[in-house]
Amino acid sequence: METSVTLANLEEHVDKRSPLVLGKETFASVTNTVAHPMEMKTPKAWWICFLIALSGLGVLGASIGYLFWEGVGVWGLNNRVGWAWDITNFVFWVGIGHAGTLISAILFLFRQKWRTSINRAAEAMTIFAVICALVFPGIHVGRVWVAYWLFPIPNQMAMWPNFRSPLLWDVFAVSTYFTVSTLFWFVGLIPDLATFRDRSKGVRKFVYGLFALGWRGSHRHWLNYERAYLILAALSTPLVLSVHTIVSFDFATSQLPGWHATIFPPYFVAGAIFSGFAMVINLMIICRWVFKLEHLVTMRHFENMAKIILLTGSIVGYAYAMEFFIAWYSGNPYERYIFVSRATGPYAWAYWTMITCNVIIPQLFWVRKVRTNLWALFIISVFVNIGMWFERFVIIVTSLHRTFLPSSWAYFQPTIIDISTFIGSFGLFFTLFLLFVRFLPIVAIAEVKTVMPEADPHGHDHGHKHATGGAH
Amino acid sequence: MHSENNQEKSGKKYWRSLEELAESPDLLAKMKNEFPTGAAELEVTAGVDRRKFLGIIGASAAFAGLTSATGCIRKPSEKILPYNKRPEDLVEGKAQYYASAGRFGGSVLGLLVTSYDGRPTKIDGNPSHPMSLGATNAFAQAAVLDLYDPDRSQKVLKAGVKADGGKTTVKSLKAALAAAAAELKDNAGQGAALLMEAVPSPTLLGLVREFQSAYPKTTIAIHDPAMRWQEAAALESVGYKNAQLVNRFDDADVIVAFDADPLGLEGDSIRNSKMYAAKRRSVDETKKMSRLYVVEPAFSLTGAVADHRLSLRSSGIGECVLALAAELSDLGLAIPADVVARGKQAANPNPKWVKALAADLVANKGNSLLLVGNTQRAWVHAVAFVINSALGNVGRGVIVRSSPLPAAKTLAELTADINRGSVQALVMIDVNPVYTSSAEIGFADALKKVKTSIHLGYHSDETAMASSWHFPRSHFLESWGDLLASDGTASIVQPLIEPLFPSLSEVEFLAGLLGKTANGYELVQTQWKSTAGADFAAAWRRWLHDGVIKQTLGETLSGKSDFSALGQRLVGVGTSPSPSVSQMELLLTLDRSVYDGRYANNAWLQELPDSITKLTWDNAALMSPKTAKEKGIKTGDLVEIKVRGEKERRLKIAAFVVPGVAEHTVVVQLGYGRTFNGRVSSGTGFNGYELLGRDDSFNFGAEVQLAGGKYDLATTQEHGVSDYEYDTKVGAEAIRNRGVYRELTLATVTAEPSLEKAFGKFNLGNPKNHRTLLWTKSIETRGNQWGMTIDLNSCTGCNACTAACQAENNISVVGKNRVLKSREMHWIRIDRYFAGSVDNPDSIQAVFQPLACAHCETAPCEQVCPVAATVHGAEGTNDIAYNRCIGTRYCANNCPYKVRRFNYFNFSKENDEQNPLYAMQKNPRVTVRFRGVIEKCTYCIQRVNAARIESKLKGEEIIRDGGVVTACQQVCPTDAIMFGNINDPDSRVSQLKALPRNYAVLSELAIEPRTTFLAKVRNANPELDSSTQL
Repeated sequence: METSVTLANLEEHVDKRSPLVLGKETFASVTNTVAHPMEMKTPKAWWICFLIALSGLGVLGASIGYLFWEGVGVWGLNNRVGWAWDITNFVFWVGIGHAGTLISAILFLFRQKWRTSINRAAEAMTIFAVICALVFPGIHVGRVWVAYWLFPIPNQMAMWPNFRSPLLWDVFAVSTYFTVSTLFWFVGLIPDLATFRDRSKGVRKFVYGLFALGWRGSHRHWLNYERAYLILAALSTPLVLSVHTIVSFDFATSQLPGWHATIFPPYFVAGAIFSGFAMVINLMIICRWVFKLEHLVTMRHFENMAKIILLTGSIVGYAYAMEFFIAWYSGNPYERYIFVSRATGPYAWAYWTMITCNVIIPQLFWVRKVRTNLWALFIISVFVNIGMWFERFVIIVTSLHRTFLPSSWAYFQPTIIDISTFIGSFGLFFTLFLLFVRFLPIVAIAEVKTVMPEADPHGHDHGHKHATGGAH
Repeated sequence: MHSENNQEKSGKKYWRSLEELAESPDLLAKMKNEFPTGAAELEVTAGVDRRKFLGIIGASAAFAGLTSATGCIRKPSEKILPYNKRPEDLVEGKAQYYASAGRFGGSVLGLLVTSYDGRPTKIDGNPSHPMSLGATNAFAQAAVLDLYDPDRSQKVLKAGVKADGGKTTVKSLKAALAAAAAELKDNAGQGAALLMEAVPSPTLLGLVREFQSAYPKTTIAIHDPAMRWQEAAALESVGYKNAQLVNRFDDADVIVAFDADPLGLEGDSIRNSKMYAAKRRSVDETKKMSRLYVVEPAFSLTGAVADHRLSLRSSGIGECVLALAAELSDLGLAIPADVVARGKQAANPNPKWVKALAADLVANKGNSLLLVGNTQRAWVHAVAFVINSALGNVGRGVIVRSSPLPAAKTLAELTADINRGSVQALVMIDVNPVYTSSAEIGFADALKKVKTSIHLGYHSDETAMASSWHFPRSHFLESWGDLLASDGTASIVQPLIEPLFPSLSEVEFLAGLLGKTANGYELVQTQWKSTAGADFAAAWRRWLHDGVIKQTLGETLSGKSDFSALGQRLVGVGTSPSPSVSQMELLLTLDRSVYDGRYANNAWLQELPDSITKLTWDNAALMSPKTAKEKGIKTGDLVEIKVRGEKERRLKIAAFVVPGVAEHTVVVQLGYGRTFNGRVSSGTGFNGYELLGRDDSFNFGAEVQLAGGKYDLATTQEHGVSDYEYDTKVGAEAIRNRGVYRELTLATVTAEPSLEKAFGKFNLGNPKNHRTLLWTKSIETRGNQWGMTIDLNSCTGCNACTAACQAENNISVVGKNRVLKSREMHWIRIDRYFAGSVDNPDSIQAVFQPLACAHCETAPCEQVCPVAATVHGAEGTNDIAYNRCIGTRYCANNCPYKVRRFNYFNFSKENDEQNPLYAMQKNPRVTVRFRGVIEKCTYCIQRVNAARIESKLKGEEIIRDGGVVTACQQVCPTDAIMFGNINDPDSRVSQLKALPRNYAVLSELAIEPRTTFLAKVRNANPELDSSTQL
């Protein structure tokens, strides 16, 4: 798939930076490339994918409908293991939803310009993943018709929610994260929506125009826009860390051995970035191939993301080891037991799946050949996400199934509805993502242009034209 | 009628006191015949109209007292009127308590029954009755559900099909009874038989005598699992005719049970347990307690609490008793020479053990007690009686009493009579021999040869379908009767409700067959007229109110035992070979949940986990881990058991591996696999009767083989654990490390001046040793602060608390499939742990720990609930507002005791739909929980609130000690549970909490539970240092 030409930007030289956009791309060609999916006749392949995703969404709807009709008992939960796939899926999707905002906000603040080619898709992924995540806490409660009691809505009972409960913190953390991420994404979209508006006709023109908020590209617009974008980036940055920290509090502030650990916040954040980047790699490899974005989304992007996966995967691996060490060092018999049981007990298969996928396999990224091989990248990223799903499963279920009193040990087995709900959530995710790639710019056109040599008034500084043979 | 508080009976007068109101005799006469029918509309078909039912019951309650001359009368449905004048003492929605009596597991228990608006809802023990002393067992607790069993017999059957077009009314029932009586009259002259249970009811037995005089060629036969045939034979052999043994634990310092379960399924287990527990608790004051030795083939409740337990197959028990006799003779006891001679040759299973036991017995002459179980043969009972006599126990702990029952034949003898053609008419009163007998006897075939067979039964069961007539029996809460306790105390069985369906009580049935028209009330009154003396009315009122009749009936036999014929009896007995892997010993036992199968259609009992195996909804072939390993059998494997007898018997049954079963023994509980089509009993377990032999409940030479295939067994512990050994091993280790269950030996207690020191070995410490906390604890200290202690030294794991809690708190039954998924709803469960080595069966010990919500001061559940549905009450209770709960289950996850239960489905609605009468049993003071909410023990908050109202009315600020009795505390036969105000240092619960034995489970979590435990003290014999401490 790759040629030596595209590998060119992998090398950094002392005197010059590697180009971020490859090939003979011009401003016009970038716009054309990105707008192409929106303008072309809907391809058959898109319809097929969309129908599959829609069927998945239907499975989700049917599973949830059945769940609402019958009760939470349609899942495999029991009186010892009160949470299993529901909360596992929630944390899994929230985790995936981390990469987008990290790429767009933190990397933006750190002036990591390579982010521009992937941030749009990553942010979209974030929002869709958070939507998938939000489904689960909503449907996992026993009485869904009063789930709104989780929100501090004034009521005739004069009842507030319990502010001491981490679940309530979750409600605030995740909803804030969702709101800010959506805003951030939308603000970033405005100039590109205007581009789309200008290129389309009829109803589309109206709809794009509506959301483009009258963007004309004036200097004042740009000035305000960039200021707003910066502020939102600054707002989002702490949220990237806070949301998963608070999700981890669901476990860390409880008193169950295996949950009650101070290491959880950093460990969860690292894990979330780990899984989020893996998902971005998976999605971008497909998009890049389908929409021929090889010049915009280059191997350098993948390599950078692979490095982040390698880093966060190692942090996660360290956390696993540290949990064992602390369990031993604390002298707490419950803690010790639960960790020994994780590795050797009835759920050992899940634990070792997790270790293999999260700790061992990503170590292959030490090898550059692996980091720059799209097949390897794709497969390893899939493994990372399998591993991260199992991480949450291991944390939640193995801790619950063998708690303090040996009389109350039980085993959890998922039902078909557990499985169908999880599969259905992928249906929801891909339905949204397919709509996104069809109707919205998957690459931030305006932002990419800023990292092209043409945008650089001091072209010599980055020496793009030397490396790429000139893009003017 | 009793006042709201059943301990305070003296203030109010008596049962149905409206009789007094109705001064006019004319009115009484009118009431008597006002509504002769009225039950017809209550037939349960597609679904009973509950509203209508309630209406009828509500209306009838008012007149219940007025019409006691006819028992009870219900108003017809078309005339539901409000009270014109409210009867005195009747407040709608306020509980009324009536004294009655019932027979459960062979023991007669005096009862206090709670009734709301005419609906009996709860059964408890009558504190004045010597056999219940205020407590009951699980069977009695569940009996109220039997009343509302929608599958109970509602129709007269003729040759197995519905008579009178399936529309049985009170009138047609009487007509059918007359027809059956006429048929009986035609055939009984050539030979009749009466088959019944060993019911010690003077009225019934009087009618039996009348029956005998009406039909002189009558054979009386008794078929009852509690009937002690072998013991009676043994007593006869030493000179006591028609006698029975009554065992008293009151003064017993050394108790030896040979395959006997006096604290569980045999004898007066409630009284025994009370007395036994009192002897155990004395350790706190005197540092002395009784010692219990048990020799048995599989864990009974008695065996589980034993200080020393020897695991021995049933066929070896007799040898062990003989060996003990020889040993005692060596220690100078006067044992007849031929017994000693035989004892010297006996196969002694463990000489050291028997020697130590003998020494202990001799040291406690007169204050010891030797018991032999019902499954053992007569000669074993005889030898044990010899030992008891030699020890001077007879007349003290072992009392010989004349039996109130007539001389009777066994079912096998009756069957032989039928086959001989000497029985043309057979009357069966509340027995189900077609199901509950050995195929070798061949009763089912013999029944076909009888010209007229008339059956009275609660269900249209296996026998009902095979008889020429079947009549539905009334529940004991619907009928008049009387019962004698084993010590001769009599009680009147009085009804609380008119029969829900046209039915007959035992006495009405038999009287009707004799052509009498008197109803149950008249029959019982007639029986007791002579006893009362001058003022019958006053005496009768007293009896009904108290629930006991003071004058004891029957006599204690004294006199010289004659052991001369004993030597002959011992020739050639007890020489069975040891079982092996290929030739195993099979033992069939009664079941702790369904007894002999009679409770198989009771959902509470079906779901009650067996004390040892924790199995629900099924029985299984129990095997020790060692034997199972040798045979390559695992829990859940289907095995086939084959026994060669007169004819080969086979049964395919699921295996269950459990420690404590004697090696090469397989144990099968009876009572499951019913063919009767009950909606609860269907599909539960395997019919052990198919393996039952003619004479013994144990058999040598059973072949057990894997039959291929798996079977799901639903247990409430070790849920779904495939590797049992791993789990028990790790589990045992974990309990030891965690100090969850704490146990000491008596030697430690006496040696240590302070038990705290003895407890020091648990590094996790005592609840008193608080850790440094980073915050000030907000602990409520005003007014009543509720707390509980559970004495592990008393608890026998009998499950009565679990059943009582279910009855009191409207707890749903979930069914086998949900138990398999660990979704059972019991609020109080009994954790069972094993200790000892699986390879050495004698070292295996079992312990019980009842566990319900501990109401932690700093409850982990309260902190995590996002909607504040579970919060701390001002009196220290952990309360749930079901209406606020949205069901996140976070509280259940964070509960360290795992006592919170979630309604995964709408269980209560399902229960009511499947069993349309169950709703009648519901306690109106307790909210019925909906789908999607958490529930758990509330410390019986409804009882706390009732007591609060009462004390407020009296002007007391604090509820006095004992004012609140929780359901589990009330029922406990060992008084192991104590509840009260921990704010009051003088309350009994505070005093118990001050004992050094007091500890909190998981105290190191700083959750400060309000329920604490008193550590078990094992009175190990220093000679036998086998105690494995937990």
